Amino acid sequence: MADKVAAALVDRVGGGLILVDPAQRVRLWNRWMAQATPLPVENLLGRCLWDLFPGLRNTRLGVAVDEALTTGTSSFLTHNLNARLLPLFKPDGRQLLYDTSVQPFDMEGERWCFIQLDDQTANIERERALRERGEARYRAVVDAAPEVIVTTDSAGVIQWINGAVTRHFGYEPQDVVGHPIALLLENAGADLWPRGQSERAGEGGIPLEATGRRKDGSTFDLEISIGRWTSEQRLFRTGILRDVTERKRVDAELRHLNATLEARVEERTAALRAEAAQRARVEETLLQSQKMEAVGQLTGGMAHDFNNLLQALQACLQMVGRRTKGMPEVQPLLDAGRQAVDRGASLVRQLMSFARKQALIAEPFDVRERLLGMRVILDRALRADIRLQMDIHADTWNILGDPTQFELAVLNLVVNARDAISADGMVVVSAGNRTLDGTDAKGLRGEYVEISVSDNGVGMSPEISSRIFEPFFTTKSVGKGTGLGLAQVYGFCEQSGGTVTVVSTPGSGTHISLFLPRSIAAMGEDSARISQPAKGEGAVVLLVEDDPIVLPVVKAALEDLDYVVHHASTGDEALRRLTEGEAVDILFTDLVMPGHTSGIALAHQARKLRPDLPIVLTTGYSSELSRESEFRLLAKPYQVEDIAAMFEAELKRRQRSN
Amino acid sequence: MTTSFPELGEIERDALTEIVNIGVGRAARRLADMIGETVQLSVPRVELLTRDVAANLLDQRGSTGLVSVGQDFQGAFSGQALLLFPETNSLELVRAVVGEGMALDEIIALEQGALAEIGNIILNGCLVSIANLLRLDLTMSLPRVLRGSGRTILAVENGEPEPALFLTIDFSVASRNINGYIALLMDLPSLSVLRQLIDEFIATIVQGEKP
Repeated sequence: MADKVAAALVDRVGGGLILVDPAQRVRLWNRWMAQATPLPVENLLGRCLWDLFPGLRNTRLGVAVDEALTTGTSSFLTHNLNARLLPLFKPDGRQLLYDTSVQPFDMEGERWCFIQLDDQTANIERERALRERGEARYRAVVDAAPEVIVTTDSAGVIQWINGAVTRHFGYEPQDVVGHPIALLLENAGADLWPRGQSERAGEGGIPLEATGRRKDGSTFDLEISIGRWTSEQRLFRTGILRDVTERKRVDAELRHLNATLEARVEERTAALRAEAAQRARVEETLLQSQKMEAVGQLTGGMAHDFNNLLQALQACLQMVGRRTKGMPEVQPLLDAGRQAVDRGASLVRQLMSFARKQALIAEPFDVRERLLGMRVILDRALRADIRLQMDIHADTWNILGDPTQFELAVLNLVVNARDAISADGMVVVSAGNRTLDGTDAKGLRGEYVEISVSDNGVGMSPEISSRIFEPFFTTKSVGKGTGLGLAQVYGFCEQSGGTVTVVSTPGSGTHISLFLPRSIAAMGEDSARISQPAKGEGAVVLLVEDDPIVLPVVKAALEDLDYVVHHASTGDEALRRLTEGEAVDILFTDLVMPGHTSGIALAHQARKLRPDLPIVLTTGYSSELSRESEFRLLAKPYQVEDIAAMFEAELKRRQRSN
Repeated sequence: MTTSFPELGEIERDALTEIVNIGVGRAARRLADMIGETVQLSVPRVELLTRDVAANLLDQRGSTGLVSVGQDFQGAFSGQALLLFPETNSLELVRAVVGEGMALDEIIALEQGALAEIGNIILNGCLVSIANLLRLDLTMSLPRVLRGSGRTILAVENGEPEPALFLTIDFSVASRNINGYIALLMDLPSLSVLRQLIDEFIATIVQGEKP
């Protein structure tokens, strides 16, 4: 009964069972074995196992059976390491996969051998199918990944790595599998790689930064993301190693760019700010000069009219003087009148000078000589408690300008300096050559002489120093100054083609510099004044003058000097009469007149018509005058004697040339 | 921790060491054949230890868990043969035997079976040669694969609190970064039998030298 049950069970077992006796003959071959083997059971029993399967004698199975029978050892043979031991097949013809165990089996005092085969086919196929399905996607991802993907066990030993390791690290995958992760990471990075079972930093999705080490020993920056997973109760970690060298380089570059961008923006901002400041300064200067120009126009127009009145007054007084010779009681009155006219003329001159309408007699002169020559006047102008220091360079260039106006300007400056010093001070007058490049002195370029007057007086606030050149602007108490002194200085400099600058700080004095253009021409001789009025001796003067007040006075004065005066009230009329052949010995014309023909045009036409005709021009305006060096010029207001001297000189020159 | 082993004389100890050496040497050759690499062995240590002390010793040798392949043997004397190595070496050992080019998950899938067979081959080699040398009749169980600390492995393998004879031999495969050791644990009641067997073995050798 028990044997029958045992036999039935043996045949029901879902695996192979074989029993071999000490002579290695088959004594049991269960149904599972019979179904998997093409041989009929009747033919197997009692036959030597190795006669049935001669190829197996020298395999692990043969050794295992031998050892089990002789030594009593048990052996385990997996299908993985021992494929195709016994050729066993499924009913559908597929080869069976099985693990084999061989054990000694005690049988009635003898040692037999018991072989058991466990079918693994279903397990293996299921696993393989699952693996392959999962793997297809997995492989597609990891094989294409540009990053290195590496799996380690819990001890940090590399178990698998994708092909990207070759590109990034220079190793073949089989070079690194089985090695610790430290092979690929520098020390610190290798320490970061989590070990053991517990969760560590870097496994929570936050990437770690590490340094990779290539096969050739070189290093590079890495970012590592690590995840953990388990398989068959074993913990693994898979990391993605991303080469961030390029990104870091770009980051660094960006940071650098950002840093320098700020610097560049700052630089540009500073430049713009400087530019804006510069523009503001220029605008201020322009505004100032426009204001001065406007004031100048107004002043000039009024001064011109006053000038004509003074001219008339002066001539009148002069003629009254001539006709009352020998009347001593008239003389003091005349002198008082002349003084008043002179003072008026001086005032007008300053106004005109500011308005740049004054007839400047520009000529080259020696600045040093002029300044040294002024020493006495300047000393007198200063008080006893103020020391004057002259600091004039010996090789100072000559300048082109009106020397009288120059002297007046210097005197004005020194007087102002004096008034700025309350007690015990010093005024320095200096002069030297300057070659200007447009960066200072209001943008002038070229060769200039700088004449400076400095004091250590009270100084001025910027509000005051910006206005000091305006006419009638004064800080002095009423009656102490005209407010025209510095306006004269300004007008003179601008009119001479130079400029004036002022630097002043309240409490530490004022420094005013005149920049006047260098003259390259040789110095002219001082025109000798003829003190005695000459006589006209009946010479015919064509007097062109539109001012009804000036005309009769000048006419009378000329007639007094034995000139025959023909009058024309416009340039057009004078030109017509000259063209018609009117007999004239001298042409004396004002420059600014109504009509189409100005005094200058008239002079040029007359010169063409009659090259020998002496021509003398007169004007109160300087701008036209300074351009006309071709003709003799007389600045208004003039003395009658001046006309006479000029006429005589001109007549003589003509006679000589003839 | 190590106590002297008064039951065995110096010659007997040397003989035992030699026998184990031959056995393990044969096992090492089998391992070397399987992985195609040289396997280095240390000189066997023979120690009488309690299980506790032995467990501590095992745990001290590696911070990570251990894998053991164990087989019982029974006959004139009984005990366990263990192949022990750090858990972290096990995949590499399997890879060394089955060859490169196998995917990680494939290796994981066959790891358990492969370890059992590898351990089985090594331990059989060792035990068979010892049994042959001592003309001993033993039966051996199928291999078991266990994981855990030295303590858990030893507790499973033998719960006896008495001291046991420990024979340990380090092995390493330098090129593979694999190392581990083979341990033979023998129950003390078997000791007198063992001594007798050793004496016989010595006698055979002396006889063999005489003629």
